[in-house]
Amino acid sequence: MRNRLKVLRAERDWSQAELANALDVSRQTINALETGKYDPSLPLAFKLARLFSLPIEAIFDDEP
Amino acid sequence: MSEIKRAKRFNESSLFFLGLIGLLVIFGASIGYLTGKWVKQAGQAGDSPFLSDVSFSTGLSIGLGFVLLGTYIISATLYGLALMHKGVAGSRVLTGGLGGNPSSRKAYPYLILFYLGYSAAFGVLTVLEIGAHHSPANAPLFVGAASIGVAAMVWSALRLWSILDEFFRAIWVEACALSSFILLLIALIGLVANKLELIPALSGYSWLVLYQWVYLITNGWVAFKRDPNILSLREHADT
Repeated sequence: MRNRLKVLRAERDWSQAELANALDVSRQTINALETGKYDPSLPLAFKLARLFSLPIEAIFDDEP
Repeated sequence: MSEIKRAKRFNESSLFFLGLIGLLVIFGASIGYLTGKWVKQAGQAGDSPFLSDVSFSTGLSIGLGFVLLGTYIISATLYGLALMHKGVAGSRVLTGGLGGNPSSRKAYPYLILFYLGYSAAFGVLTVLEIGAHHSPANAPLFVGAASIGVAAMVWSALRLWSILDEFFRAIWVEACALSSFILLLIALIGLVANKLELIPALSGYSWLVLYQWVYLITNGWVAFKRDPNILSLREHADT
């Protein structure tokens, strides 16, 4: 699944550690999400959507 | 939850944690003393019935078992050092990929307890496998040590499940599932071969050692697939 996490994070000038702290996850989780090695659970996806004030579909894209 | 209740829960948890560590140390010291005494007496008798009777597969399993024990004790030591030294905590390869994040550091005490418990339980099994003399008098000691070790593993694993975030939990679950499936396949082939008398039967201890090695390798592969930076010496820069 593709996502725009890295772009959204860069727009707000956040580091991976800062984003991780805001979501109460590890920095490794943020890195794995951004590199596409891991897809978030639904609760984490909703947390991300609330943090960026965007719908989930605006952050994640499951189209091939 | 109020601050007072949170502080009380933390103190109770710390006491339980320290109590388990203390029990493990007492049992470990007692079993170490008994085993050393047995080895010394066997040496003085001038023979070693175990060594003359042991099969190749049993000998190999015990050797690999000692390597595993060393790995678990070193792991517990490294997590202990990570608690005290930021340099160790910041190294992902020394902390099993967790690194020095605040959320990861919360897991270190429970990882120490988990590996100490694992070492205790598996250590008892290894000592019994190499033929340490056990009698009705000292059997409760072995049972007690193994039970305390398993209890420590269960309690710390439950705590770790709630502390580790979903990424590390996913790696843990995937590694367990994959290693179980791989061992199932190995067991099917191995048992058929044994029934056909192509290979000797493996003891339960040998199967357990085999499973642990399969799990270690599988866990490493799954973790590396999810996070190629897991073996880095330092925290990597943002991608």
